[in-house]
Amino acid sequence: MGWISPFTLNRLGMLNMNRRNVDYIARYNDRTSYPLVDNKLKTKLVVAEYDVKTPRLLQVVSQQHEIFHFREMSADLADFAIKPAKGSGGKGITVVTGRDGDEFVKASGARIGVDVLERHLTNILAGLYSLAGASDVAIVENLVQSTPDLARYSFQGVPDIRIVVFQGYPVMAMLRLATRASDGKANLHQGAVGVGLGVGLDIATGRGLNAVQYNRPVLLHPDNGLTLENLVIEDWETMLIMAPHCYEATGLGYMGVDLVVDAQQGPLLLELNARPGLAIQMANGRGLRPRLQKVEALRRPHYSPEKRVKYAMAEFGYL
Amino acid sequence: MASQLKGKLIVGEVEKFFLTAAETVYNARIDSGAETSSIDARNIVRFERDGSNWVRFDVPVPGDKEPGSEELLTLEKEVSRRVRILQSNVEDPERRVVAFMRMLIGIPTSGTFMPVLIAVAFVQTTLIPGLVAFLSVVAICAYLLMSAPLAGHLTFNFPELHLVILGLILLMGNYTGYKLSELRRFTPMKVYD
Repeated sequence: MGWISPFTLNRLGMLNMNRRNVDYIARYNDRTSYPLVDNKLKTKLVVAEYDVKTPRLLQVVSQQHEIFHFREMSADLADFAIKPAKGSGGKGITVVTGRDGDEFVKASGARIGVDVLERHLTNILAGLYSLAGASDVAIVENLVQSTPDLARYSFQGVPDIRIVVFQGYPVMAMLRLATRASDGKANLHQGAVGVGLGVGLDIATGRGLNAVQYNRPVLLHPDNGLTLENLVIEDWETMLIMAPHCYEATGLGYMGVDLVVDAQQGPLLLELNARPGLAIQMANGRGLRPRLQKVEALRRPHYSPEKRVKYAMAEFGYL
Repeated sequence: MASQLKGKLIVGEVEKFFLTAAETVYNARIDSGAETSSIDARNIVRFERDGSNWVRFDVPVPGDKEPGSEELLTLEKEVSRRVRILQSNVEDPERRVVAFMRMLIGIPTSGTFMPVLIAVAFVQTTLIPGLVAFLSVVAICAYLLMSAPLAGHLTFNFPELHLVILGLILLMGNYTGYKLSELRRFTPMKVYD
């Protein structure tokens, strides 16, 4: 591991943490909008008004006594996910993938009774997984079934797509694939593979440009050996248009939009992030700054999300 | 198995633990069925302080000495509740008191508890002594710095220099350039240059 000169980084247009915080997050993200993205339930409700689909909500448990209803509700459900509304980093998410008689089968293969899930719900309400331990709300959602052509790239886990949206323009995107090293989680710190996705015009299908694991370029998925370059994502334009709609819904000027592709329902919004990380630049092998500056320099921003996506596709292919 | 254990501590039947009140390491037998822990306390005296129940007792300081002849350390704790212990082989229930004591377990110690001791000492410092200790440390550092002839000359003759320092601090807070750690973090970007 060596060092890179700040001039090289500058030439590559790499956005760094201080500049992201001061020039983008602090300037373009209104603090009053943060609760909208830090609470998954609020995100779900607010984006629904803008026709952005999210995994179907099965139940909201906000009070201890409502946990009794969970037993009836889940009686004939095969698969679902329980999430804390204010959880971060995937903590407290329990995924049930099937049934074995009265027992639930978790993603790991472990079998648990309904009482374990009820206790988990109680823990969520008490704030075990929320920031600063504040009391929370549990949401029960339909489980996302990844499309097979995308799922085969991932070692367990559902691959997700992160799009960074700046003032309503999708500026950069990547696909995150779980690996054995990341324990089935799509988190780059834990060793998931990040594939930079082209936003540019030539690829109306969203094609893989570059891939990294542990910030180093890779050509193949480490577990299944599939080539990551030229990987194609269907419905790409739909996803690119979903992202700016989330900007309309929340008003956050600089944010990360996390999407998944469901086999039945198509692209769904998983969550929004008001402080998106910088690793997406490594996955793309490109810096964010030229694109951000280009959007900032626009004298007449485009009004509709569709036009903004068109502009992004036309302009950001070369940057 | 490994995923179930993530973030959890494996505790054996006998473990060393650090009792903060006594600042001493003890061996404890772990009883997974017990709700409270018991300690070998001698010369237990209950008394009242400021209207609440307290207990004074001696705990042995572990050493090579024979049981009964170890050094004893006297502790005082507020009683949180009383319990009666029924044991199968004894007729009369035994009366015990429950008090809150802080203990640490599962810290890699490499033979010494020194860093933990210091940390615990800081955690247990109350506000006033803490402030006094902090201020005296700051005062000593400031004194050493100010007694340098050049610093004295500049600050006493040109007090407006303080505003310059203030300005520098504000400037530092607005720095949006690359951090030193980022020059390392972004090194793989070299290939794309």
